[in-house]
Amino acid sequence: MKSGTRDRPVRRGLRLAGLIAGKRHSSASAYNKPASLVLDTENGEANTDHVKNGKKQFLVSCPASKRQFSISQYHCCTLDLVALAILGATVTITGCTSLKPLADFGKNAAAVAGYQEVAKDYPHGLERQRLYGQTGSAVSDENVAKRRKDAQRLLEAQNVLQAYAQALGALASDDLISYDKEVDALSKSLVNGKFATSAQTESYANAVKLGFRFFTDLYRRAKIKQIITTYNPKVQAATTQLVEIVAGGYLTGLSGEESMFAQLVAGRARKSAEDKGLEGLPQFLNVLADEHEQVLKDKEANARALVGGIRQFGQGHQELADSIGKMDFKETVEIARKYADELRKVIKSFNS
Amino acid sequence: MTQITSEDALDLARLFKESALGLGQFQLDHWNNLSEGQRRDLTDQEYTLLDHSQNLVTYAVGVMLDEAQASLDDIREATVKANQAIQTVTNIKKVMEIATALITLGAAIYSANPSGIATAVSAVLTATTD
Repeated sequence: MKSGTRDRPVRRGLRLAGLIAGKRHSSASAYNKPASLVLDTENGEANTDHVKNGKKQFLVSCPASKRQFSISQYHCCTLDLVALAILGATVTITGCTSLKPLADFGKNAAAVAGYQEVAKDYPHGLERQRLYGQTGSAVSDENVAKRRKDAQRLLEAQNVLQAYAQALGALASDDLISYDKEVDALSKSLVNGKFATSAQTESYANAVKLGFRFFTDLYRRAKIKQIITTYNPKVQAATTQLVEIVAGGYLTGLSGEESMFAQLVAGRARKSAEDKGLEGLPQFLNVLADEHEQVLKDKEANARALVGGIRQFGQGHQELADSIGKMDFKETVEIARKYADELRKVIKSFNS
Repeated sequence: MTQITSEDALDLARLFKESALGLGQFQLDHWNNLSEGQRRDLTDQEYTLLDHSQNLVTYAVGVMLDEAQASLDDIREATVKANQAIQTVTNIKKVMEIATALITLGAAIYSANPSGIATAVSAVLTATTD
């Protein structure tokens, strides 16, 4: 099987692939013994090297999933029973950890990071305060312009996190056609947001792209580990920036805005209406004020959800990065599952 | 000398927002006993305190405080006392005096004026305790 070709059974049917160095003997009589057996489900990189070097691949199904074993026709005959026994035992112990939780983690994180309502509303908060009667320096043109810049920084941080999470999700869910493109989009976002230079992103991309490789689950696992460890510092930088802007700037401003509207606009309007004894007006004002206050509360809830989600993403990603090389891959996947569930709750909590 | 961190700035902003809210509540609670001029003054002071609250987030981070004159804890203590006083005082002049002192303190903080901060902290405490 040539490298770079897509073999459906490899990609779809079987979630474990062992690589065996099968060297055909010229003798037609006997089964050929493999020169070596390589089955390292925790280190796909080593396996891919063997593929690169022209060694053969066979495939086995997952005992835990009760799927049927299917050994590649190509060199099946080169395996001896001992190798199969070792393989079977190793597969049972380490094999077939589903990558779905990692895919869910990436997809859910991308959905959270892609929530743009907060960034869009960020400069408008000061403009609304002007409508409420605020004339102080906090709502000056200079500060509105500063907010627009902050909103742009916020979007850039979100773009980085979204592009990264999409790439991770694509890799884990076997959507390999779009994976390399998403790594390119991530590199662009990192440079646009000044999180990395072009030279740095080129180096990262070279490390994590698939290239013309053989797409086995083992290989994907190796790439998942690589993408998580390579990008973790940038993911942490982007999450920190995003949380600072939303929690420090947007939410504080929104809280002040809510107070301003409740007391200086709605509160005073009600009192004035009561003073004048205008029938129906206080009630009418109550309805309008309640509606606007609900709009502001929804904005606040969405911003808090975004901050919470991004914190979960950052924390989860850090735990994933910390686990790599120290824990079994199954435990890494369990971490992803936990945070994917948390992120799903965040997505549900967005009001719009 | 200590530097105001982003967490410190957020904390101060929260305290100044509370001051503004207290002032607004005072106005609404005493609406019928206040003249139009007094209401206007209270409104202006509340807007200014909310303005300071936002400016503290934007501009106070990195400001150096001379602890020999007034520390961050001194500022917090004075502001908390002022906020408590606004909630209990019923005299409009007293409330205005406290609010004026707080406004001076807020401006001194985000304009990075250590001696102004110390003077304003004293003024807030004086207005609160008199």
